[in-house]
Amino acid sequence: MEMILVVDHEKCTGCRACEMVCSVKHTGVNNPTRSRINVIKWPMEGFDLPMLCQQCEEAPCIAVCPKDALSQDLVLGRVTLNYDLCIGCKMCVTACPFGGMGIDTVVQRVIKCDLCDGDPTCVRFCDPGALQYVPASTVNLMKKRDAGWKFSELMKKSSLISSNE
Amino acid sequence: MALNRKIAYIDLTTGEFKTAPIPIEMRELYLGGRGLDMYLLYNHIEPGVDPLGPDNVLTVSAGLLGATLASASTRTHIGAKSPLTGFIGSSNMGGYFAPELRWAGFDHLVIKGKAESPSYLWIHNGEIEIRDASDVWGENVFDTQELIRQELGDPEVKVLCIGIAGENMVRYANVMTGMKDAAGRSGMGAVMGSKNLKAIAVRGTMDLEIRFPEQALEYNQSLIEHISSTKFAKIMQKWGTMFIYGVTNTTGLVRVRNFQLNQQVGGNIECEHIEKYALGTEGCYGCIIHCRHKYQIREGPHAGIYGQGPEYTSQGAFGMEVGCNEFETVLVANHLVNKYGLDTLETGSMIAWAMELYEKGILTDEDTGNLKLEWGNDEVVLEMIKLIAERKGLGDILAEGPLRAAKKIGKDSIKYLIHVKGMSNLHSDERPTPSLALGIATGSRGSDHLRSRPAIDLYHLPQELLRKIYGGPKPYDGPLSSDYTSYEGKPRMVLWQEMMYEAIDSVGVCKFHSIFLSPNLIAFEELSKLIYYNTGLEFTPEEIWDIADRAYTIERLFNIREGLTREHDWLVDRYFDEPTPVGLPIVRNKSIDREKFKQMIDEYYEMHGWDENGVPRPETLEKLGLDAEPSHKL
Amino acid sequence: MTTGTSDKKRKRIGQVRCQNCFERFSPQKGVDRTSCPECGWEWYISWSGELAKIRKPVWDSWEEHIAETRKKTK
Repeated sequence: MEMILVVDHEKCTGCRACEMVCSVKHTGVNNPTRSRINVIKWPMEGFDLPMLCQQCEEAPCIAVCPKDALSQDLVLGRVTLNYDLCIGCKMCVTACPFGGMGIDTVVQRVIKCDLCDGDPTCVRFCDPGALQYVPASTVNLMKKRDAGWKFSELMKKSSLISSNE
Repeated sequence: MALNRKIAYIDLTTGEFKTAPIPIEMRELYLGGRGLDMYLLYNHIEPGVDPLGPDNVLTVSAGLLGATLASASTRTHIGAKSPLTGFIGSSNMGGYFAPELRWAGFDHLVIKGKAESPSYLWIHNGEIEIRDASDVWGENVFDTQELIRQELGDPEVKVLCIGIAGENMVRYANVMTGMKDAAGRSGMGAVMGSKNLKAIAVRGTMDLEIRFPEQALEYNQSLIEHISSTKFAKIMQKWGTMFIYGVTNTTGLVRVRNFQLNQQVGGNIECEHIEKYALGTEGCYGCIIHCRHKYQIREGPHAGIYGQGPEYTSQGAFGMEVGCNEFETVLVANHLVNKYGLDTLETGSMIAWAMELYEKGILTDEDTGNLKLEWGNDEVVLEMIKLIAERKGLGDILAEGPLRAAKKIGKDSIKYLIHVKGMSNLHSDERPTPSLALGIATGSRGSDHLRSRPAIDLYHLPQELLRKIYGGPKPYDGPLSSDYTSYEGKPRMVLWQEMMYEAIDSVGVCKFHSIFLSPNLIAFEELSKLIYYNTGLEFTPEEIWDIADRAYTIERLFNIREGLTREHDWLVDRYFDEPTPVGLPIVRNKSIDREKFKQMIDEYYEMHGWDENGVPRPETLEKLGLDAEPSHKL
Repeated sequence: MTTGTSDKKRKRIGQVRCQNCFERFSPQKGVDRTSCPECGWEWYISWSGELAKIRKPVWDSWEEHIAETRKKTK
């Protein structure tokens, strides 16, 4: 079953634990500039948004890669990067509209989210549940459920009001 | 590895600086953060210097576990000789500054001298620069941070700064980063102001190596699973520290109207009111507790205010203490103190004290500039905050802190002060709780609930659990009591918490993850594992205790060198002479018994290995390896 | 997701602890006012999901309770 990593910015507390564990998992060191995920913060407005590779279906990075180092992995539903083929031209970094492709300046190569081969570390450590790894086929059902819950609460209230009148 | 972070000595007078590695031996003696800061202060500050003069030394540091896989490894510690008490000044804050400081290559900054004109420090990837701050001098805390980020052209720069209160050297001005992270106590902002240092900006992209990444990830996950499964975490995540008000106010353990009552009947400031204003919660770096609310006032005269918090302290300072019953006053006042860079607790206490003086006729309309300092007068409270920050009118006197202000006002004003060592108490009423009273009386930085408060004493925990917590890691088989009104066994609790907080401050992890408000969280055992997996340093729980003991004793030595005597470890007379008037039956009509309290202090000194005057005995110093201090190794 | 809550801890989730007598009890789900089955003191309750919390005392009956408790202890 294809799974996707979804972000619910309303639940994000901006704590950046995802950056920390991503960096440690992939590099053994904590350095947010080497993390595949980054929380973009507007500290004075209190708005936080985790940003990472969206694993596009029509991925611009795949399109521009001159060496076919990037490709679709249909099993895990991700865009994979083959370092054996990568020449480090960074065209993918330029092409990605989200900043999903980054550059690790220590080892001098491009980096992107690999969904930790099907068990994303960031999701495991996201206590508020802003990051979730869910089946792609039912991802909209979660949103429908949330929206439906608000709706049902409203209906309960309005029926209370009308029965009181 | 996580230990290859440096110390930087910065002289603002000459503009020179040098850096040095921190030897492993010093880590083994003091860990880092608060512990090592205390060593540095004891070694670099000459006895008797003017806290607001160029000879005072300001330290800024990250803890040993800063930015590692220990949840909430985020605390920044700031130290100096306190302009408020004249003793040790020490305060720490959350936010994102300490991790960034570590990524920039530093763990400790030792700042000396005084800049000729307003300046700020720019620290990035091992480099230090002193830059002109005349553009941001006079700006509030929020704008200063944004302006510096704009000037440096990087939105990820973390800024630690003072507001106008710090510039005006209000003796309890704080140092801030973000919307609400404040190193509030003991006047560290005034020290920065006296050095013409408006801000410190950092940005770093250097690796911070984790010694055993796999094990550290695994252990951290099990730890956060445990923490987030506790009811304490669930309540904190929902309500923040404001939940405490519900318990303490109901019981009658709060201070209302300076010290007149111990319960606020009819107050509308319990945490549930935040729901009307909240936009969600925000976490510090790597923290799962995310205890601060983001709030916005949408209507009324204060519409448009956006802030973070408030904490229990602000509820007390601008709710109970000054007799305001409305939650919105707390929100607005909290926003104002953050904006101006004032310590919320001290500000509220000073205003409450002035209100009692006004009620008693010691302050008149002439003194207050026709401000009606009456209980519950919200507008006057908000006005006074501004006057204190700007040092205008009566605010100029109150800005001097409790003892100096009392001296200026004269008459009987000192009788109404609620302070220890010249620092105002938290708005809690410790008369029914001897353990908490002992904690504030002996705290090294003055009256303080974050030095040694055994808050879980209030939970009526069973004996076995108390024994499990307080019985180790150093053996103790004396009495322990579940009854918080008892004097029995309380010195051990205070001592244990002292060591716990010293250790947790030294590794730079938030106290809310340790045994402070919940008996189920981490203590020495877990710290030992966290330190090992993240840094590779091996300490047994007993060794961590010894390190904490060493650091706490050096704080004591610093204070003694500045003239501290046994008399300073004492409460004001009102604690002994005025029994509590209201509250639940268990706390009614309680006051502290002088004789028993004296015995508690004796017992506490004895446990520390201090003599009857509170001076560490030579053999204690020898045991802790402090007999040759100051040793000037760093 | 990341949290596993043990049965023992789960039992505590809907409980509150009377701030007068320290007795743990479970208020009926959703009520905003209840009294302690042990000592009878009245409390306002607030809820966040399943989590119950004592909001504040019912101040009107406050002094009444205090007087009664005094009588009992005398």
